Amino acid sequence: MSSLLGSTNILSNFVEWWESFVFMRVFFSPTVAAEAFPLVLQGFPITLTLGFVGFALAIPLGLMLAFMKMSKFAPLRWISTFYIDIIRGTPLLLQILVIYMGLPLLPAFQTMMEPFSGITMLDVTFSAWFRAFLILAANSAAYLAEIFRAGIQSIPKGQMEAARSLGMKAPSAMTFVILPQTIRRILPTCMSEFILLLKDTALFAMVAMGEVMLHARIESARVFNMTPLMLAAVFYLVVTIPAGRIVARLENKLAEQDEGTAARGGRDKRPPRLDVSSTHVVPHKENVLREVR
Amino acid sequence: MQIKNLKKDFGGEEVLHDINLEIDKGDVVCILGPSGSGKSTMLRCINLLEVPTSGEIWVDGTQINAKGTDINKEREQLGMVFQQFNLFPHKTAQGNVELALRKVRKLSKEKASDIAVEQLARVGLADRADFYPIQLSGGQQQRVAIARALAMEPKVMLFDEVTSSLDPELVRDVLNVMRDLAQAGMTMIVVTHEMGFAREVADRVVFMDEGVIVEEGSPEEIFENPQNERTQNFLGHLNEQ
Repeated sequence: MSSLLGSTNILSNFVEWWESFVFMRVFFSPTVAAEAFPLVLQGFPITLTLGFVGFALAIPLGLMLAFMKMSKFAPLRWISTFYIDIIRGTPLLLQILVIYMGLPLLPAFQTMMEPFSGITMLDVTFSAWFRAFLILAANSAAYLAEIFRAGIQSIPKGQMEAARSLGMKAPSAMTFVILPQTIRRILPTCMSEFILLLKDTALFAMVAMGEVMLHARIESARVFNMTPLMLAAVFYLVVTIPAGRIVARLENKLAEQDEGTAARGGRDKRPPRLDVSSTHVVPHKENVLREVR
Repeated sequence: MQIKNLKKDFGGEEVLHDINLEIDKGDVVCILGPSGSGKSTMLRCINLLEVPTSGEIWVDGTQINAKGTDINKEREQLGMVFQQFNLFPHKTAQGNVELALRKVRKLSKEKASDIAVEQLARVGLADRADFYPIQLSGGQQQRVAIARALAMEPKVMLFDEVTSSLDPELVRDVLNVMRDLAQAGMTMIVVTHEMGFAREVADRVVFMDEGVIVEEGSPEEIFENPQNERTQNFLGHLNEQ
């Protein structure tokens, strides 16, 4: 890229002028950026893999925790609550350090990883991927569990009753009636959770995972310039901004659909009348009472 | 169908005291009574959405709330229609009717679809098969709910105040469907505030108050010549309106 700049006089003059300002040179130096770009780019696939795979693994784990938390069996609820409290109550960085550095100290873990010792992906060992995914899934699952639980419990009780009254077993009613409705409602929140997770992968720079943040930090320290870090910011934004837009789109769409419900079905769904003067046979006090109970 | 010594309490407070009721095949029984008299709770106990505290519920020679009975299997015989419709909002009218046929009866897609179309036609909604619940009026939604229950070929249909959240002009369509069902010989237990319907369609009317059956008899007996004071008060109160 430097040769490209050199070949065009106007451009090299512009860069020279731009970098004559200290602030610009420290934070937004094109020369440093051009040098750092391939390095930071090298970490990008690792960041993406951490984010996507970590989140994908967190979903089933989070669902399991959510069901445990709603279980009739108290010990399952305790385990789930305890787990969620611990994970949400401690910094992710601490979890990363403890698990990432801690597991390899266990002989049992070493034996477990032995068959995979030769395997690497993106220059990262299988063992390191395994630990990183474990941490991310374990961490994000705790947050997702609460989202799932709230989502499932927001579906009116009548839906489960209707399904059960048709002879559906509880798991089947959950799978075909409750969860499809839940997913629609929690999709925006889940996307936000994904964005959080993706940004949090930056913490793996602390254990030298080789993702975007690590390369940016090393390069930044080497050249005494913030530009590599600003470059890293761009890499995160490339994913988080579109994802954020999708969240906003989804939220709008859902809000529209809900309004549609109110507008179209509203005529028949208005709350039960309470005025005794109504020509209807019996004032529907019972409905109100039942809702209170 | 028989209900013997049914009791139900919520958190120590007994809401149903010793209910006994016998319903013959093909009978339409309307259950009347003031708010909070336990009518809906009784209906919900019958298909075990609420677990009875004690008592027995017999359908067609089986005690459905006995230990070891497969509740899901027994529920298939008891179609339930709710006050709030409880249609599945993520499925079309046809999808609502098909779901249990596919997942409970394990029917093929084609077979389930055939039955769904047939049942929707029966409630007069053949042309609304592809509509989602929010695109339907309350009365249409309730008729889909009836079709959904009917598709499972239940022996008994339970109606829990199915017209109470409908506008008066939509009530008629739903009642017409129920009237047709009654004429077709379906055994029905109907919790309702529709006195006209009870008088015309019911074989028997049961009046409940404060968790007990106060009085039961033919519509003529109950409406023209109620014996119990509470029944008289309730019906009298209605007439004043």
